[in-house]
Amino acid sequence: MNYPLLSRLVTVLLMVLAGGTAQVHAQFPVFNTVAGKDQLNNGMVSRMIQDQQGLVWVGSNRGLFVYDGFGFREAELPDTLNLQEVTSLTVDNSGRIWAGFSNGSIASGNESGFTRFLPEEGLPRVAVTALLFGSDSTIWMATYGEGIYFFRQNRLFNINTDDGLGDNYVYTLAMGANGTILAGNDAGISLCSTANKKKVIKHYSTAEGLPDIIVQTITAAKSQGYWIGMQEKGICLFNPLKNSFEVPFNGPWTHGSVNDIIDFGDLLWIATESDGVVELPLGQYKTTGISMAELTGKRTGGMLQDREGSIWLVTSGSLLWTSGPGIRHYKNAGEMSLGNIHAIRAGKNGDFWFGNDKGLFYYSRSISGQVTLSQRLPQQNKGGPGITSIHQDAGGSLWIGTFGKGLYRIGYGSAELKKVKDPGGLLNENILAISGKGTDIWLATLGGAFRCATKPDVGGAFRFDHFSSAEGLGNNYIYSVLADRKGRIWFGTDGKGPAMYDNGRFTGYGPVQGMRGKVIYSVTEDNDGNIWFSSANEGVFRYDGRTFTNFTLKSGLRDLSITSIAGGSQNQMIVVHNQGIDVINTRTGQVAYLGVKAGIADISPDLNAIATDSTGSVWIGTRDGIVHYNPAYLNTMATPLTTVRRVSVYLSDEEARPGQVFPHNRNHLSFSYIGLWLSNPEKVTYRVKLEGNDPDWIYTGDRLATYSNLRPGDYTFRVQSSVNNDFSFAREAIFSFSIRPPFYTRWWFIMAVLLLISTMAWFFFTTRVKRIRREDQLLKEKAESQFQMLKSQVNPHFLFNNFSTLMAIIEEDKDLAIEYVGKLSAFFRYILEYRDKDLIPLSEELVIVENYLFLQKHRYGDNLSVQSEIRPEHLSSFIPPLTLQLLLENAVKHNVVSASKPLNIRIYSHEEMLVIENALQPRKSPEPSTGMGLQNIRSRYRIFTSKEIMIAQTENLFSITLPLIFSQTKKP
Amino acid sequence: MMRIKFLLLVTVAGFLPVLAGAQNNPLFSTRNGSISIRSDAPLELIEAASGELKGVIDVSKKTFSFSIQNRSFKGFNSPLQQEHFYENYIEANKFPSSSFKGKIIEQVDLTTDGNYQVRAKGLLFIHGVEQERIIKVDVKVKNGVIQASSAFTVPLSDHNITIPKIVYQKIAEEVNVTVNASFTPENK
Repeated sequence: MNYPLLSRLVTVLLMVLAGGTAQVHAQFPVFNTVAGKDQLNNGMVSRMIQDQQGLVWVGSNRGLFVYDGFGFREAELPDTLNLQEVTSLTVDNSGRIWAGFSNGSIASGNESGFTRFLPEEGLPRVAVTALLFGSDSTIWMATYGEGIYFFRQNRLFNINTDDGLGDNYVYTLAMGANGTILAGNDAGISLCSTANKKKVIKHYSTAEGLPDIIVQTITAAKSQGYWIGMQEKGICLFNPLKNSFEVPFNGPWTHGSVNDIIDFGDLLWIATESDGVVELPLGQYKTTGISMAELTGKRTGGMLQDREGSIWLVTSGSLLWTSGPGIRHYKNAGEMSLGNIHAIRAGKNGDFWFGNDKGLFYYSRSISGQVTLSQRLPQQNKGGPGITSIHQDAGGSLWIGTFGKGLYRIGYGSAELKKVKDPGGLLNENILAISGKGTDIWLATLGGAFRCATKPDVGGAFRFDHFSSAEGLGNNYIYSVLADRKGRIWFGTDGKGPAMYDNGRFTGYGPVQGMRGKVIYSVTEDNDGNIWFSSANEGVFRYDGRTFTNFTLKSGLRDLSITSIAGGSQNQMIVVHNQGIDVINTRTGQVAYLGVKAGIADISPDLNAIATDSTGSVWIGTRDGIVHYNPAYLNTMATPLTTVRRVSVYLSDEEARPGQVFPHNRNHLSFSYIGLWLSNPEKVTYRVKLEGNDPDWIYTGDRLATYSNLRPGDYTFRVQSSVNNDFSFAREAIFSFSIRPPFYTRWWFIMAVLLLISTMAWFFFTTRVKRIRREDQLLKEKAESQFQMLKSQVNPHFLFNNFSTLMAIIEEDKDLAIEYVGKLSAFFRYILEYRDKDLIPLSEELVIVENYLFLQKHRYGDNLSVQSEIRPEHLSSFIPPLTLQLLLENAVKHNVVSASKPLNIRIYSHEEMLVIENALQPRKSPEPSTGMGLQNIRSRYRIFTSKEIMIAQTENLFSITLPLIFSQTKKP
Repeated sequence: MMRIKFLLLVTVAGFLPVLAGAQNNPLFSTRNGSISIRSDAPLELIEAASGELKGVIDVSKKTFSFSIQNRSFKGFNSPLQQEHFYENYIEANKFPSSSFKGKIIEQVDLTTDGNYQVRAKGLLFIHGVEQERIIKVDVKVKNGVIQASSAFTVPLSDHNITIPKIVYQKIAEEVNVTVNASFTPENK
């Protein structure tokens, strides 16, 4: 059996009321130094602003910096503004940062760089002390010496004393109602209106009730009006509607000049010139305000409340961070350390009872902020009394449970502490928890549960009813008890889970009801009436009357060794463990962690040393003191802001834009992202998914994801950030882009290629068809020409003429006859030899012509003469066979050849042409002609040359011009 | 601290005019300053100038006043253009003059030789409409002569000068103005 409290067993020997009282200081949050004086170019921080991404921009007297939770980076200012003192900062609606400088310059930009603001009208010559964006996108600029400027519709205007401004030395600007602006200057407050281009300025000074004329800061109040921070007279609440000035503090202001104010609703933090940060409660009773011990005497400049509710402040040049008034530590009360708290009970006005090793104490705070600690149970000789629980009943009496020493009571209005005795003698002296409702209280003990009426009977004795396993309670070791609003009593047992008592009956909850937790340390109730349990090592359970919901590490809890749970305001369930505090939103289930920087990690809390007060803030007893958590002051449930900061292509400086389309070979991309969570930057984890590539989320702590060799397609990079590994409430940033497929897989390219191929194929096909047809034609013509030639050569007339010539010479000259027959047969051999050829050299054709002429000469004698004048270089050109022979034969055939009219034929070459020319002396009865001869020559020439055959006929001259062919290649 | 500065300033400022006034006449003036206007529209360039700019500067109060007769602008491309300018746009019959009156923003001593860039904040009166303007001016002071030169733009819409749709391409929405003037001490 494991009894967590046994180790703390102590003895209570003596209990005496009211020992001494001690005066102590109020307690304040932990301050962390974010940047010391040596950082930020050795500059002094003067201004801070948080942009929409969550980045904090810090202006110092040596430049502008941006902080992302991990470090500071110098802003990329134009060269002329490097190291220039930043005197104002603001952020516009689009998230752009605007900075004003001591030399009157103004620049705007973001992480990627800044550009100077250069209006045509020129810039101030003096420091720009404040920048503000009006609702109509007017930019307002306050200057130290030149009054106020405003930039509207691309034009810069000035408001100074000539226009009625109280003073030209302006420190601060605040947005007023209906587009007006409040300016704090050396002469009070000027309320400026510029409606309808008319400057209307209403000035408020001491005459109007302003306590001090030098106004250094103006902050809109959470309620109506403005908080005015002045040089000497502290602060006041200015209500322009009522023209009223209200001083919220008591007595003279002793903290020095006011530099900045944060309004928490019922509390102000005031940054002062000489007294650090002053906390001023805004209650019914005015106080003087208390300077926070850690910063007392230090110059404190601007403050910034970030979106997580944390406060940034500048003290003596250092930049500090604190979780603000939401988390406070009570470590000491005067001389006494407030450590080893075992039980705590919160009162109504920031007062509380607590029990530690030294006894029972009452801590209270007067309206003036003075703290009193009253000892009600003095320190014992051997260790302290084991106070385990403190309960105040409906009647106001206090019940104190101890470990091993039974029950004590302080009656309402009494100062006397008395041991309560059970007349029945059954009461177990080990009381671990007390709860109650109406006229009863319930005790959780190591010997079962007890019910006790809060009023004694007539005899002055208290009556106890005992409930144990015999009555249906699962186990007699009871760690906690809760009387809920419906009057049911809930018990946390050791090993048998929760049990509930209602109408005289016990109900146990176990695995059958869906409850896994067996050892239940704490039971509590939230605003909605759900019952919450913390178990030994199964986490936290919520029971809504039907089902149990389990919260574990997976849900975002940081530690399962839970020591206590309690409901707080804003639907929060506070879960305390060794690593600090987790907060569960009781409605959404979202889990948040209160951080390391708030100083509440490693707090060693005590079992069930927890209490919720009437305002819903929670008091937690720990080894090192008391932690007070007020959910109203912190934006606990904010989640990290996720941003994709930069997307770059591998080995390229170019920054990618969302929606960009990359070429297929630029497919190595790096995504730099951040989830800004300034309370605990190092606790932020991420999950990323590249839609189109990753099937599932990738969980990582890195702030950089790289993808290489991405295939062509559409992608969306998604990143979510979380501080507790639960991403159900995470904010997401996305970056979409595409990678274009290579051109050779694009449809248009494929189409173009197909088109080209089909065009070529078609072209090839048609030319081929044409050629085949032409070759057919050629063959036909060739056959025809051969037929013609054969027909003409075996012309009976030709043969008859040759034979009669032969007959005439055969008697006279036998040798000549033989030669004649030889020439005749040679002529026919040539015809046979050449008829299949397309071309023959001209020289060979001339041999045929010579043979032919030899034959014809014997018939016509000297009446027929042929003159051949062919230039030697033309002899090697080509000619279709028997062309000249055919033309000579034609000449003989159509012309008179007689002694009176001899026929002279000239064959000569001229400019790559062959001319056959004869005098025109047509026969009266021409030999029948088919007309095929010339036509045939013409078509044969067309195969080899584009030059035409020319036929010229004048009155007495007939000539045919043939082109010389120099190549045997056929025309395409 | 701030209060002390403030008091000092008040004291010094109170004495200054007395000192300045005792020695010199604070008024400097010009009667023949040059001013030119230029409207560079897509279809037409209108340029005109006048040498009759009158002005006076009070160097102790840092106040100034300039005025120009609208009909003194000459040198248009054509008589027709000049007539349009006089009659249709500037309406010289109704509004014979234009002016700029105000005060210099900077703390500057214009009796000391040197080059200054100052900003003149004042009311620009053109076409019967007054507009508050801040105009950058380069000032050169030498041997008691104040040489001022400036270039600025005047949007026609600021002064209710409406352009008929049909000539929209011929007149720019903004007219560029250049001023050059020498101011000499005014004789009493």
